[in-house]
Amino acid sequence: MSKHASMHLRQWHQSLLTVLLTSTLAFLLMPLAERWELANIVMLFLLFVLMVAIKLGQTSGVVAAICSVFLFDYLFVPPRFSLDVANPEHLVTFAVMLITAVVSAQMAARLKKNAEDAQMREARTHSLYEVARALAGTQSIEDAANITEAFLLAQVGLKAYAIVTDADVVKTQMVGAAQFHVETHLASLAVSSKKTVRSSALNTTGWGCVYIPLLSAEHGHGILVLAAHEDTTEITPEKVAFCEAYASLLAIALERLHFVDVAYAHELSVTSERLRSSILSALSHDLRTPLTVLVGLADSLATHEPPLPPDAVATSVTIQDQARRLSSLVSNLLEMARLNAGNVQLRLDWHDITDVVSASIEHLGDALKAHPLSVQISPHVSLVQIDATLMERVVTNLLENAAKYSPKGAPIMLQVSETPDELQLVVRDEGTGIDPQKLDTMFDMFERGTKESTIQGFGLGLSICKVIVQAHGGHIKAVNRASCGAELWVCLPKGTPPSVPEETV
Amino acid sequence: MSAKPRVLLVEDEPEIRRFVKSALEAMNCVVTEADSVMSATHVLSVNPADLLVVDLGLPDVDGQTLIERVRSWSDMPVLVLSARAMEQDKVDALNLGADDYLTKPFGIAEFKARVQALLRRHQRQDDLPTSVLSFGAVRVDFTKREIFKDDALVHLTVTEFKLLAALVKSSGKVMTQKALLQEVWGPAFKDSSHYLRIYISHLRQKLEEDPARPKHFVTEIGVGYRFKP
Repeated sequence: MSKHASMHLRQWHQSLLTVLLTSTLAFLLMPLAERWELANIVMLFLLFVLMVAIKLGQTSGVVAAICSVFLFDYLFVPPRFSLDVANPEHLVTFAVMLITAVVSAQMAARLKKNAEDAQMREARTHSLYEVARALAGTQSIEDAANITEAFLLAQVGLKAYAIVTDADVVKTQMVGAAQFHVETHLASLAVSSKKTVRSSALNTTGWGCVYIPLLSAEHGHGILVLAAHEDTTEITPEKVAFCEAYASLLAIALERLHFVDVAYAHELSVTSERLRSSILSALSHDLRTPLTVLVGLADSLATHEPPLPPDAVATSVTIQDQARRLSSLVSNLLEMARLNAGNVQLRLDWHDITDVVSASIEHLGDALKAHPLSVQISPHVSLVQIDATLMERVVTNLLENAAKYSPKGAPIMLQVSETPDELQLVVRDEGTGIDPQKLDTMFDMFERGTKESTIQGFGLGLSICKVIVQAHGGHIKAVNRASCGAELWVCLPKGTPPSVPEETV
Repeated sequence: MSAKPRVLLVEDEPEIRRFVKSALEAMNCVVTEADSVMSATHVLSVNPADLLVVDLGLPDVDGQTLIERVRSWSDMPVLVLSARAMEQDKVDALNLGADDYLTKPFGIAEFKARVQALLRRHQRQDDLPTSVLSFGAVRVDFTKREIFKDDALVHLTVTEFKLLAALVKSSGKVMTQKALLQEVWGPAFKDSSHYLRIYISHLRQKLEEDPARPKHFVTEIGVGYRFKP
């Protein structure tokens, strides 16, 4: 049975009851008919109509008014027990009585409805408060969706589903299982227009849907879909308004969950970054300690007093050389691990490239002793904004490479020049040059200049150079020289260095 | 100093202690060993030392804590040994009062040179300050404020001279960039590293044989500068 039919039946019952009650009243007042003024009896009828209107509503009030007029006329107005009226004045009494009764019935009924409405609004506001508190405690989107479903079903009798979107694209992550068909184009429309969209209940499925976008200060978080089967529930404008109010609460809750996620992800990355750097630091310590012992002990053999036989000294020098080479490899590996871990954190400062170059040469020490090295840097070279420690590794690797891939005694040249936008550092050697096919790939990890070569190295050095230079917004390239050997170019953006006032004295 | 210099070596790795100790003994030093900050503090309270060689990564407390403690009552030279990759650790140690550092692995000759420089520097502080200093082809007369290179007079600006004096005064130790900026330009300039770069470059142009490959005004990358006579 539909809701409308049941309401009709209730109204019918109430009207019948009203007629009975009016008759009972009239019957009870009969003994007073001869003794009281008619006017007073009218008053009692009016009072009765008012009470009926308050208790049973407007329709019953009007029924009571009409009944009262008829019964008053029939039972009390002379000639009694007849609908005839002796005195035409009484017609005025009837009219006044009817109008007063109907108007007061209407007013009473409206008052009652207002009170009921206020009560309902109060209850809904209260329920919104309650649900806001519940939403504030949710830990996940699923929780929020479950609360939404239960709440809206209880409050307005509508099925509700939250659809959470990424950015403004309806890439549905449906929370909860829907029994009805979601019209994606309407959902998209709701998101893009930022307004509530209704679909007709006449669609094939028999479900009427409302799409309310979940908007917060920052951005949209999804859509609230309300659905009602046309046979059982009606989607009234009040219900939609209530659901819109709820949707704003849900949007705030989703926004909070979103920021909780963001904060958590950030905390996670900070923690893992800290962990990574402490692991690398411990690894660096543990790897360098035995190397230090090796270098130190080999060195003390070489400088032993009284001197050891030349053979033994040569051996200990070799041990020391190899240990140092291993140490440089370890440094490169650790650096690569640090850089590969993602977010390279540059400690940028304005530097004189001369500092970097001279520190690299100092650092390499004996590794360059087999090659005459010439360095050309303009005395007035601009400062560049770089992470000096990382850039020193770049220059060190380039020089070490040049020494490795050119025959003993072949000169190496390092030159720094400037264009309006770039600082260019080039390392030239007179070695065998680079296989033209490898020119592009040689900076990728574990690529080596010569296949199966006997020259030690990992190909790691150049990969690190590339990562570091790129992190500085620069680029690195290799070219073969026309005569012989190769050139490795590092180009760094110049920027505008801070000025230093000239001194005159 | 006529007596043998006393050195306290704080290092937790016995093998490293072994060769460092023999290097020190070859330099005619008396060596006391400690393997933790606690035992080092204990030793220092009984046996004063002329030089402290300390590893930064010690098992109980960080080596930097020891440096800080020692600096609260003594100006003995401190040489830091560090296996750590991060430059910041060295800078922190130097700012806490260490005089120099060596990154592991290091050669014995390198180590001896650093120790010698620190001991000499400490000894010189007890003598009268020298007013004339020579390095390479350069002669500096501090009282007359005159500088000669290859016997030709070189003009330095006021700031250049101040920077030269600051570096020479700390000969044998590393000056962090912050310490140099503070000493030459004042506390307000402690982050204006570009001033330091420009003026170091000026000094090199005027006083170095080959400014692109400096021998006296040496860069300690990520840390600061060192003057080598």
